[in-house]
Amino acid sequence: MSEISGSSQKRYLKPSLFWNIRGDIPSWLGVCLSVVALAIPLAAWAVVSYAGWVSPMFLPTPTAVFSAGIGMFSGSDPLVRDIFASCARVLAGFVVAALVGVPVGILMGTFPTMDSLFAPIVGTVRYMPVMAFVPLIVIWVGLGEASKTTIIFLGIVLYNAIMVADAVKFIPKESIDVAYTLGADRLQVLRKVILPATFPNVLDTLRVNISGAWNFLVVAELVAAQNGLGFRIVQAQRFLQTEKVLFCIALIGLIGLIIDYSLKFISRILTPWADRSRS
Amino acid sequence: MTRAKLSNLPTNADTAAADGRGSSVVPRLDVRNLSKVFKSQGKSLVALKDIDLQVFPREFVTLVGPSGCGKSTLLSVIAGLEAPTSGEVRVDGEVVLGPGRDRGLIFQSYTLYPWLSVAENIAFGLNLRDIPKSEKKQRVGYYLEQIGLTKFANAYPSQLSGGMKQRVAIARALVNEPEILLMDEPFGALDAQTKEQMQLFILKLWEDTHTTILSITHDIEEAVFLGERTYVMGVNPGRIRSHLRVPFAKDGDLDIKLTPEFIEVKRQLLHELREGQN
Ligand SMILES: Nc1ncnc2c1ncn2[C@@H]1O[C@H](COP(=O)(O)OP(=O)(O)OP(=O)(O)O)[C@@H](O)[C@H]1O
Ligand SMILES: [Mg+2]
Repeated sequence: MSEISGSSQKRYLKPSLFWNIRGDIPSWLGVCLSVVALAIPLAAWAVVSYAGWVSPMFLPTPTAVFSAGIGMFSGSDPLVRDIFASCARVLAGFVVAALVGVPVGILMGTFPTMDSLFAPIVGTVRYMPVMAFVPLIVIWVGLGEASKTTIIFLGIVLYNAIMVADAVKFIPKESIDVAYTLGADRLQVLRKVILPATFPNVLDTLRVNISGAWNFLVVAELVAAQNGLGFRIVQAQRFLQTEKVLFCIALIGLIGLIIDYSLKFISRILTPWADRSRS
Repeated sequence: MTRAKLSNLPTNADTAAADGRGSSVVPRLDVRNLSKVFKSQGKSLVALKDIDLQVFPREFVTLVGPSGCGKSTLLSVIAGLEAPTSGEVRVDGEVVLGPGRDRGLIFQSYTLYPWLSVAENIAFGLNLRDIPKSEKKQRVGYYLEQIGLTKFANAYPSQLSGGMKQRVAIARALVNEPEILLMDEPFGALDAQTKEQMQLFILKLWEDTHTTILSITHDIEEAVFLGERTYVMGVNPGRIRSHLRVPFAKDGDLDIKLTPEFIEVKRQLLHELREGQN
């Protein structure tokens, strides 16, 4: 079709389905791409392991991982107990971090005085690795569940605060000013404008940071845990049971996926008005 | 239709007090000798200089000025959202020290709360106070009717057009029964037709609700069509250049815009504006 390229002087932006910026794509394309993204690494894994190119200890086959997983669910020490234990720890750390981090973030975003007050702590502690605190935490709160909750809490609380504070700062000034001209006092502006305006972002922040909670779980369960998925991973590693390690990692990923989708679903129900402005 | 003759249009230094109305009546809004200086990075910018402006009860006053002359700043100061550097703002004779619901403000941008429905947005100011539920419902219903959006009471702002959003914002301010309604280019973002509809709408609302209105615009035609009086601002520094009584009845006849008299007033204002720009 050389005559087309020869005759067309004007250059228009050609429509593109694949490289469509922030538009809608057909749902089949989305599903296809997601399936491909999962299928390719899985296929590569299957080929490499079944063909026996590497030793099973280095990379076990999918069937070995799967049957090891099934095996872990039965027996004297079933995996379900570990799943519950880990979920409970993540939940405890996450809830405390939300109860502290979100209000601090809202205060920091709303009042410059509170920002000045909290900024030095938030700014410096954020750079300190939580791992480094573990010995201190053990000394301070002992070896029980409290230490695990504390580790997860410390891991994510500052990110909650920073991300929520940012969300508050993004509220247009006019939204606040208009409330003043309608007769609102400062407390009413906080309650009736700032809180509802940041609510969708708070939900988003929590959804992002719950993945952080799972990251710190493994750190927490290094500390004298007797159960939990992180504990199982460490145990399996000690006996070079690579297939069990892989299974537990995959399980954490799956739990994370379920949590992520549930939270997205919940925020869509709680903030129906936010959908258009955010997407 | 009564159409006043276009005679000796008052210009400079013709203050409201001199037009026979202000001498005995306390102005609803009285801006006296107001200046506003912004200081940033060591530089200072005189945004407003010696502004004198009066709006009397039930009056519709417009204010035109070139972009950047300080119109929005003036409204912010009147609304009490910014403090004046010098001078004062009085409402019904009392000096204003902060924002309050006696001065409703319609912003240049859309400011509806996206998490509230149309009815809840309108009720926002009422919900800040102890008002019986039945009265709230009745007042919100009245203004929904006035702005013609009764059917959209439960819709969210994202489902409305720009004109509808501004109508809701106006209702949200008026339901509070402010002493004066301040509007900052409320129809600036609308297309020509919607704008004319909104002009008629605001005139009717003004008639029906006896509100006092100060409306800012950079559209001369709008200023003449809506205002009983018009102030013209100049830039560098932002100041009132002149002030003019518009000699037409505010009866919502759009064809008046095509009459030679109307065009003559527009011409005068336009020249006034151009001179103010250099
Ligand atoms: N907070 C601020 N700090 C410093 N300068 C400001 C501030 N707000 C406004 N200005 C300056 O004051 C001047 C007047 O601004 P203003 O927004 O009041 O103009 P305007 O007449 O409303 O313009 P437009 O018609 O474009 O809306 C501008 O030069 C602007 O840069
Ligand atoms: Mg402006």
